[in-house]
Amino acid sequence: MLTEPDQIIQLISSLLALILFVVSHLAYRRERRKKLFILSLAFFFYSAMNFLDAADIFFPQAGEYPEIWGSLLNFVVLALFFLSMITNE
Amino acid sequence: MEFELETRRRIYEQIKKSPGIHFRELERRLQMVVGNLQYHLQYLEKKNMIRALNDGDYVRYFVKDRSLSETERKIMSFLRRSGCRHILLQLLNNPGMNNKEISQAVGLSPSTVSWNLNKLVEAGIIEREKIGRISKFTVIDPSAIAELLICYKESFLDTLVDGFIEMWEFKDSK
Repeated sequence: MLTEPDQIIQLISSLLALILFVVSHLAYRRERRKKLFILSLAFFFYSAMNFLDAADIFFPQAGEYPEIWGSLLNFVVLALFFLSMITNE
Repeated sequence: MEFELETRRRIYEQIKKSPGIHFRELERRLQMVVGNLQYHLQYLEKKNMIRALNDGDYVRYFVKDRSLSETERKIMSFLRRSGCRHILLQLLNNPGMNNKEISQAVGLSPSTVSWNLNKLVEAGIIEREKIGRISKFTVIDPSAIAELLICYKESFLDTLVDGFIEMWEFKDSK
């Protein structure tokens, strides 16, 4: 089922981003800082984006939809990182 | 105070690691003077953190399973933050320190210290006394903090979360 090496790397990246999401979410729950909440969202969407990029392994019939969502999430992730940088509290 | 806390933590950790350990073995492993060890064991027993059982030949020590109260859980969550933990340790040793003194002692910026102090005051763990323009801080219940500090053990997850916060806050790694 797993044929393309880049898709395997994308899946591993997705898993790593998910771990970073958990850590950042725990950091937010501990500190209650908006900046950390935005970061945790960014990592969550990054994880979803990488999963969608590798989605045709699981859903080959999905066509171009995962790619469109992947590009949209790419923008969302960058926007969230930017937002967390300009958030003080 | 910190020295005593560290000694008690070592004793507590040793008993936790080897349940049923007897006095002489504890003395040997920790390389402590008899009187000193007896004094700390009595303290830990009095605070309900360990229990002693006499099996006829030896007095054996066990760690008591503690279920934390709501307040203790709240204190524990602050102890998991390295910044707060260092501030509380400083205040236990030197009650009445001000922001600037704490900042110098723990190596964190005054704004970070101030943020942590406000959180600790809001939670009712420390109290603020204003003398003119200077605020002095004191731990409300030092013995409760000291007991929890003995039980507290930093986990890998705590280190991970602390590292993450420090990375994004550019705080000192204290």
